Amino acid sequence: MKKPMEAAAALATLAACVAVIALPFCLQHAAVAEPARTRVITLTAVAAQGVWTEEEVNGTNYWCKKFAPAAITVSTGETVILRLISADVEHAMSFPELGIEPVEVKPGQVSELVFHTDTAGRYIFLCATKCGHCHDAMSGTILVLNDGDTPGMYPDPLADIEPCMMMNEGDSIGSYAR
Amino acid sequence: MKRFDLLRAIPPLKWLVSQRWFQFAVVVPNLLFFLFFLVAGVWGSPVGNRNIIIVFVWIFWWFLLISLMVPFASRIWCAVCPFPFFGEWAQRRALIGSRSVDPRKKKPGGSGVVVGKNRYFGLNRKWPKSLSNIWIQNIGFLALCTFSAHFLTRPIVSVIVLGSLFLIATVLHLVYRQRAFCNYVCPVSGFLSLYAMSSTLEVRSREADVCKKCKDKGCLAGNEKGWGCPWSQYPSTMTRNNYCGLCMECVKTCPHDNMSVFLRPFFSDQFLKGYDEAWKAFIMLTLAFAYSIIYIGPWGSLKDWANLAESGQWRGFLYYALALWFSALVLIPGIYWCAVRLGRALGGSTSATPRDIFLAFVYPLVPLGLLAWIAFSLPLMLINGSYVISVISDPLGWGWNLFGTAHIAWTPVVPHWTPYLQAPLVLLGLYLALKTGLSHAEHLFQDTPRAAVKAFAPTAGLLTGFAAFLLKLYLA
Repeated sequence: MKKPMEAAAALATLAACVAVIALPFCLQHAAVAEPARTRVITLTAVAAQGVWTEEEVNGTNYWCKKFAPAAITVSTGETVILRLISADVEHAMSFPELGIEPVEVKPGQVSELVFHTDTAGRYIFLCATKCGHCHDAMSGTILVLNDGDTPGMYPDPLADIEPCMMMNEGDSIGSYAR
Repeated sequence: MKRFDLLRAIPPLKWLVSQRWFQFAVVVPNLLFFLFFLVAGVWGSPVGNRNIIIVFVWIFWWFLLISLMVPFASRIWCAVCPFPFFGEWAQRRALIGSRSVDPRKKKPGGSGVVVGKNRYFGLNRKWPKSLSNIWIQNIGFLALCTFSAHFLTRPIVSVIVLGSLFLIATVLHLVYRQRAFCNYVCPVSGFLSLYAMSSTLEVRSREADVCKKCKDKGCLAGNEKGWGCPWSQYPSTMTRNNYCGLCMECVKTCPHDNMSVFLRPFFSDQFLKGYDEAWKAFIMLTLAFAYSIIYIGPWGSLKDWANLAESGQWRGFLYYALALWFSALVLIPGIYWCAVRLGRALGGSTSATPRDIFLAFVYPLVPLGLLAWIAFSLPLMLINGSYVISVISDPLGWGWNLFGTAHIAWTPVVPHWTPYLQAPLVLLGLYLALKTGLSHAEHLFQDTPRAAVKAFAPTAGLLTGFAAFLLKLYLA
């Protein structure tokens, strides 16, 4: 048995294994220069919980985590790029007050919605495609602030709306299946 | 039986499989794919058809395995399977070479355990004789399939199942000799062993006399050229494909160049050796029925029963599980036994034992079962194959588009033709089942041809009933 060949094979195998595991994350986080005054916000739609969330949703935590609804605050004069992802079924993101046509959000694809924040205020976004039991709860707001503004100046019209599902600790989405 | 010596006809192929690095070269790419699939399952999209682990493993790989690899290349999957990679590496402490022991030394030194003429590491225990069958694989496969609705659709569950098998394989390689996991535990290996009998490919000795006179026995014990058969087979006397993993060690170690790879007719291996193999045939047929009913049938309530995690219907799941296990292990074997028993009574006297007759008449379930599984798997690929094309560009469902195919919409291929493609497969399976069964009957009941026909008639009727049931499912 030739030891150098064995050692080379072993090293090559281990290196390839590490590379394969790391590669998706390297590609995903490859740096892309953003223009000045641009905010990129990734929102994931979770139909079963009726939320748009900024938290990462993946094949592991989808089934067991309670995702926090997105709480987005930007400044006037910024360009906002919303990267919209669906964790399950088809959705559509709509900003009625901004006059933006609904953007389809399909599972496995990233949809982008770009707009400029010229005027301060709180703008409602909602899901425009019937996506499930919690569809009516799939709404939120983006708060646009001038310099010196405080959030209290723009009350949240959705603050008193109950979330679709109140998941208890340790529960999973399957616990609330029909 | 006619067979064609591939290694003699294709010298470059002979050169290739004789290289020590050949096994390493074909397994490592598969290992890397497997690791990538696990990453995708954990961190990728939870949506099944947008995640490569679901699409590639349960649609693409499964279709290739049952429809092409097994019928045309026997257990070729076992030759490239990544499960035993790390365990075998630890067991052999070699990825490419072999560790041989000089037989002239009465007390070979060094660490590890000497088995035959090779040195191994780990505990190297012998697999218990009482478990030296495929019953663990039978029960394991049935258990997995009971929960198939969960791992066929949820990436993380696939990771848990496949990752667990990977870990179990590694651990068993450190405890037991050679490929004990592959031989006795791996659920995939169980049905591969049965349906490999159908294959057109085999590894056998060229001339039996050469093996009889051989004193080296390198194929069994190993030597400086390679390892003794990892599948604990004696290659020179092997007469069936069931437990040959096509690793080509025997081709390398044979000092007389007497082992080769042959092409042969379909279903050349025609006998089952034990009740474990017979029950494997029953389990596979039952699962073909069950999957056809649940996954491509119109009964939504049955799908809900099988899909416990989403439906939450525990009682329905219990009914489904009990029905599946009872049918696979008791009902269908029981009905079959009755048919065989009736046939024995009708056939008259024979020197064959009841066990031999039973096993001979169960064999027809091999062609029928394999063709039934191909018939079930075909629409999986036709209807869902377009997901394979889109997921190549976006394997994790992260919004990539590596090859420009990520946005290809779901496109079922000739869905209206599916029943007309499935039916001939089932009929072919029935024809082969009846042909082989009658052949066995003629061999066992040699008094008159009529005796053979009478003996096989009840079983033939049952086989026809099974096929009719499948046709009803697919065509109605």
